[in-house]
This record gives sequence, C-alpha cells and structure tokens, in this order.
Amino acid sequence: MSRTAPRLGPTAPKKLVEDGDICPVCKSSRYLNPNMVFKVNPECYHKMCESCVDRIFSHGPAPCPIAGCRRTLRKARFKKPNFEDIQIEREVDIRRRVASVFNRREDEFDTLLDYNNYLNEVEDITFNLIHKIDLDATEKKLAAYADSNKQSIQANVSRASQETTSFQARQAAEREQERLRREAARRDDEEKKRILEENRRNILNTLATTDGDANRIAKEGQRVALKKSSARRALTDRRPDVVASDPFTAATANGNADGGAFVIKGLKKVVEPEAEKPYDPFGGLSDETQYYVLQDTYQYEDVDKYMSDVQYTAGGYDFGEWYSRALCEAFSGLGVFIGEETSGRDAAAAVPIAMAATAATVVGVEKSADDVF
Amino acid sequence: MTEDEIFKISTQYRLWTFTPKALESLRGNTNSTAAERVRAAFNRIHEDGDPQSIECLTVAEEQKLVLHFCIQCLESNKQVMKLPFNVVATAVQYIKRFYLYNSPMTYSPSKIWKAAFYLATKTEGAHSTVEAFAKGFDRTVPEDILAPEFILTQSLRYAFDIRHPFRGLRGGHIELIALATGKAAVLPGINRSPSDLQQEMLQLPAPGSQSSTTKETAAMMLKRIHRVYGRADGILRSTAILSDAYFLYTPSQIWLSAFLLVDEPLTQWYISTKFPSDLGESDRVAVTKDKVLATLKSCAALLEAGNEILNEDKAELSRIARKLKACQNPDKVDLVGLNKAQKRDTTVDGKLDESVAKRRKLEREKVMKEGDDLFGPGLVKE
Repeated sequence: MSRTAPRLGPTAPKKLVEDGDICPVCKSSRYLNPNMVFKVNPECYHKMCESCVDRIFSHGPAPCPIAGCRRTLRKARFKKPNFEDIQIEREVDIRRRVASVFNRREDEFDTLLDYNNYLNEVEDITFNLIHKIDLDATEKKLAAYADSNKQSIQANVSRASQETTSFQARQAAEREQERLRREAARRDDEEKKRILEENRRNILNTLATTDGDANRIAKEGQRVALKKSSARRALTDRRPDVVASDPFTAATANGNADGGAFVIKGLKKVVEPEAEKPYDPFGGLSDETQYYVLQDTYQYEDVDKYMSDVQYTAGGYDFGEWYSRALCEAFSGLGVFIGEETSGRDAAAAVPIAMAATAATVVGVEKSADDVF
Repeated sequence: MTEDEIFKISTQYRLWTFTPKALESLRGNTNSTAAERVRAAFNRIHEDGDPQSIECLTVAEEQKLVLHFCIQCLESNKQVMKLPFNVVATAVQYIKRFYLYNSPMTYSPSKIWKAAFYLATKTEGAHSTVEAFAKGFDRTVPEDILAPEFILTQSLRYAFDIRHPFRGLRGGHIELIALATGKAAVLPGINRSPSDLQQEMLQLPAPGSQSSTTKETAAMMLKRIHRVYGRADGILRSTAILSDAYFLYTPSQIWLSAFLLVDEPLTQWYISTKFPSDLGESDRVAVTKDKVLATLKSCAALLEAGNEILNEDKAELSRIARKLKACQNPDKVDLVGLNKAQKRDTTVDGKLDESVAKRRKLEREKVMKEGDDLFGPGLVKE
C-alpha cells in the first residue's frame, strides 16, 4: 500500500492562512462577517460558508461549485466539521462508518490472536478506504460483510446502546441522589436556625412576663433547646436514608451476543444457554425400590399391639416408617456380591489400610504414636 | 437410591466386608505381626533370654479364644445385664472386628470384651453409667472398662454402625404374612395378582418333602411362616453373629440364608418373586437370581457349620489360656496404666521425660499466675 493518495480540497500550502477565513465560493471573509460558519459535505469535503450552502443547495441537489469537482451534493448532508484539518475529518468519518459495520468484540473470539487478526483486517479495509486504494473492491467487501452479518451487527449495536443507557441511567441516579442529599442538608440547616430563633424568642418572652431569676430562665431555655435539638437529631437518624439500592448495577452485565456465520476465523461458537430444567429438590435421588412394594398397612401382631397404645400414638409415632425401614433393611444389599465386588479392593486398598491401622495401634508405646494430643 | 445402593454407602460395606481369602490373609498377617512384637518385647526385657523359647498362638487358637469371649459376652447379657439383643450383637461384632486387626496376644480379650460391650451400649442407645455397668461384672472397676476404649474405637476405624439382619428379618416376615393372606403389593414385573401368588404359595411342598402332595390352608401357611421366622431368628442370634457371616455377606443375604436353612422351598419361591422375569432383560435377571441363590447357599452352609463352633472344648480352652499367659505382650498388659500414661504424658515407668516435664511445669506456672488475676494479667509498667 502506498501513501500517494492525492490530498483533497482546496487546501494548498500557500493559502493556509486564508483557508479558514475566506470562503472559496463567494470569497467573503471572516473579517467582514465574524459569524461566518464553514460547512463541508462528506461527499467531497470541500469547505464553503453557510450562506453559500443555503444559496446553492436550497432548491435541491446541485453540483459542487468548486472548480474541477463535479459531484452532486445535497443540503441535508452538509455539516460543521469537527476538525480544522479536513483530512482528519474525513478519516474520522470513514473510521466511524467502518466501525459501525465491523463491531465485533473481543469476547466473541476464542483467542487474543484471532481478535488481533480480525482487527488487522479491519484496519486494512479502513486504510484502503482512507487512502482510496482498491476502492471498489474494498467497498464491496464492506457491503458484503454488512449484508451477511446483519444480525450480529445489530446485536452488538444494541449491546453497546444498552451499556451506554445503563451507564447514563446510573449517572443520572447518582446525580439525583446527590441533589436529594443536598436538599435534605439544606432543610436541616433551616430547621436548626428556626428552632434557635424560636427558642430565643421564648426566653425573651419569659423574661418579659415573669419576674424570676434572669440567669435561671436563660439556663432553662438553653436546656430546652438542647433537648429539642437532640430529639430532632434522633428523628433524622431514624429516617431511612435516601440512598436506595442502585437498580442499574445489575443491569450492566450483558446478555449473550447473537451469532451468525462469519468469514473471519477464530470466532467463538455461540452456545444457546440450555433451557432450565424443572427444579429437583432431591438432586436426582429417588425413593424407588427394587425388591419390594411398600403397602400402607401390614398385619403384624408385634407392631399392631402398639397401634392402640396411647404411649406410642400420642407422640405421633409413624408405623409406616417402621414398615418402610424394615422392608428396606430386608433387601438392602441382596444384590451386592461381596466376593466379587471387593476382590479388587482387598488387594489394593484394604490391606495397606489394615497395616496402617495395626501399625498405629500396635506400635503404640514404642513410638508413642497414639498420643493424639 | 435403590436398597443395594443404600447398603453400598455404609461403612459396613466399605470398611468391614472381605472376600474369604482376604479375611484369611488379614488374620494371618495380624497374627504374625503380633508374634514378632511379642518376641521383640520379650527379648528387650530379658536380654539374655532365648528368643525361641516363646511359643505364640496360632490363628486358629486366637479365633477360638475370641469366640469364647464373644460367647461370654452373650451369656453375661442373658444372665446379668439383660439389655436388648441388638446391643450385645453389636458388642460381639465390635469384638470380632477388633480382633481382625489386633491379636489376643497384644490386647487380651478378657479386657477388651467389656469395653466393647460398654461401647455398644452407647452406640445402640442403651446407655448406663460406667459405674453401674461395671457392677455387672466380677472384679471389674470403671477404669478397666474405659482404659481400652480409645484403642478399641481406633481399631474399629470409628465405624460404629453395625447393620444387623434382625430388622430385615422382620421386614421379610411381614411381607410373607401379607403374601400368605393374599394382600401383598406385587412388584411391577410380576404378571400375577396377589391371590394368584397366595395360591402358588399354598401349593409349596413342606420343608422336608420334595413334591407338593397336600395343599395347605392360609392359616397353616401362616403358622409355618411364624415357625420359620422363630427358628431363623434363633440362628441369627447365635451362629450368625458368632461366625464370619457379617464380614462375608450382606445383612439381607444373612437373614435369607437363615430362612433357607429352615425352609428351603418357601425361601426359594419367595426369592423367585423378587426377580420378575416378565419385565424384559430376563437373561440378566435370571443370572442375578442364580447368583443370589448361590450366595445364599454358601452363606447357609457357613451358618450350618457355625453350630459346631458353639460347642466349646473346655480343656482346649484352658490350654490356650495358659499358652496366652506365656506369650502375652508384656508392653500391653497394663492397659489402665498405659491409658493413664497417655493422658498424663508419663512414660511406662511413671517418669516424665525431662524436657517435657520442664515445659509442662513452665506452662503450668504461667497458667496458675494468670489464673490468679481475675481480670487477666496487670498492665505492663513502662
């Protein structure tokens, strides 16, 4: 890639100074019209003043008035440039356009290397667009990608917008809380002042109407004031704090991005989260039985005699439990063949444990090994 | 969780079941290790002594001795303690388990069995104070019972749950009664109604005879079931707990083989109702059923052989006791003293190790000093 792309616009090194001040179309200068605003159209990025734009393009699309540029421009697309250097303005626009299409995120890739490869490819496209290399092919590439990845692009856009809105909402909530706090503090101050004033008036009134000891009355008044202020403080302490739980902290975590086929390799496969199964409180355990079916009642004299005994029934003894336990014990281990199932275990595990056990108990005093403390 | 899985998570299955071969080699191992230790201990004490002069017990002699004390445990419960049977059955299993990994030459069974009995009263919920418990025995003080307790629990690997076949036997009993009266709930794979099963049951031949000549009434069948239950219970309470059945078979296999021993046709038929072949996989079910029956038969043979071991030879026993006296490990004779020593940090001779004694003394003094001040030590002066 070469960097020989021609520079755009009417900027020539010689006229740099006047560039910002004289409109190239009507030649009016800022000297005469201090409120002059320049505008550009992203079609060709030629600068012209706002009045020229109004004059030439208010009746519909018209060719660019700059000599040698025959592009058709529309008024609606004129905008105030953000940057003094029109080259930068153009580059930023292109970058914005590319980024709105190639908006994959790092967490969509398997490895960092894949992500970097992707970024490199995107940068190649951007560079080609900025410097007008293979313009047609690159544009086609961009359009094809945008077309085939509509869904994921849309998903990422909504993700991004969600993040911004939640961030903004959080900020707004914080500001609101701040305001409430300030308000509360201000009210508090006013209240304090009011009480102080009222108290002073009371003392004066008492001094005027009664003929007691002035010192004593003043002291009494102060005591009352103290009491009131402490009571008020207790009240404000009890008042629930304005700070509520922040509803947005939880919302910042995002859902999964939707996937689609992507030409760039190394993309993570988007796994649909499994549908949640119905909750099983026993974690897969069942009370299924293999060798018997439990009945509600059995005829069994040894148990029946307790059924009419108040001593057992009063406490709520459940005879069904007794039946179920007896039957479970009757068959638990019927199909367990110790000779078969422990033959491997005996050779491997049991004997070492056995030796360890004997060692621990028999060696005993010689090593004082069974001193557990 | 099926019944078999429930059994498989028990400590009885995980730690205390063995194949016959493993059981034998374990006992041999324990015996030879203990004999070596006994010889080493005697050599240490009498340095000029001849190592060959000590004759140690054999595995068979050890087993006879342990069995004797198991029987003594049963007897003492029958005559003096009068505790529920599951307590003494657990105690016997504790003794048997303890002497898998320990030899009578190391720890004398005459001391261990009382501790095991007392431990069983605690684990089976029939607890009494150790003082009251010790009164049940001649020449026994509470210390004798408590001293070996830690060694015992350690050797049991802290697995106190013993799964007995008694409750299972009752479970089988109530189900057989339900079957005989035609009121049983039928397993899903059996395509017969409860009354069909009842008719089938009444056709069964009597225990001795081969062919079904007479048809019984339900009442007769009930009587038969009660009788079988009673005799099977007797087997479980004597030979089953004294033999190695608990190590080799599962509780449900033990009670069913006791049933098999008493009334084979009934038990065979009962087991056949437990393995329905109509549910598909009939081959696998049939194989399992045959395997279960073979296991039950071998267990029944073991229980039958157990009857003989109940007849003890007095002369033989006293000979073994004399032999044990000669080859008892001298380090482990005084269990009470050993227990005390462990608690008090003394060595066997009753003397403290010097550095330990010094450390203890300093610690004690420090604690005493701090204990004097009700609110802790005073502030340090600058």
